[in-house]
Amino acid sequence: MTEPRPLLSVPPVPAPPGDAPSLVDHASRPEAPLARELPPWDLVPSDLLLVRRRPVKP
Amino acid sequence: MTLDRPPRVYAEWLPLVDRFAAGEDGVLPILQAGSLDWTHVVAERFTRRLADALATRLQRITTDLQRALDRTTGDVCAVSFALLGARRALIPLRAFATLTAAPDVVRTMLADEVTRFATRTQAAFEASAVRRRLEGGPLLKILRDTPLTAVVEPIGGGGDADGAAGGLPSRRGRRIVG
Repeated sequence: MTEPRPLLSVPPVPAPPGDAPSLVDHASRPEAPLARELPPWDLVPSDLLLVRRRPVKP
Repeated sequence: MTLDRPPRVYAEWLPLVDRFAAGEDGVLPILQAGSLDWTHVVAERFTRRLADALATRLQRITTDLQRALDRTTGDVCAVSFALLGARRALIPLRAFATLTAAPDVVRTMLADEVTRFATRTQAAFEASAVRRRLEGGPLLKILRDTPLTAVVEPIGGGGDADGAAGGLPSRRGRRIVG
């Protein structure tokens, strides 16, 4: 026994447009300095970078 | 977590957008009052999250509408109620597409997604009704009398002069263009 055909069928929702970020690229300022482009949580305080210095050989 | 102040940075936006995606329309006024430093990196991530949230809500409307239509068993009045329910469900999505923290191009993209969904669904319904011989006439009339493409105001909400739907306050959030 086959399933009764629905009276109306809602078409599937297409995936969000893949080119959305490129739309935004035009809205953002391309010449902005890199430091300003990074969100705050991606910035590493400069004093923490001192920990990563190469160890001195004896 | 309850955030009672508008989001200002990307990390504050995420949980609120996720709550909206999950169906919580109560966060819309907070989102409308939010602001964001619209930088190059944030733009891509933020736009993707907004588009994903909208797609999740549209998918939910699709599921609910299909379920309601499946229960109608050919009763055109029940079809009308199902369409009205879907049309009401689109109201917060249209409001979501007016977030003042996003630039015009993003708002237009989101609004176009909602419009495209309504237009495609309405066209598919009408084509299906035309194909049916017996009930095609009354069904087609009901579909055209209660089109999904109609932009309706929420009950008790007026919307402001420039057409913001959803009964949201017309307060404008600060938008910083990087």
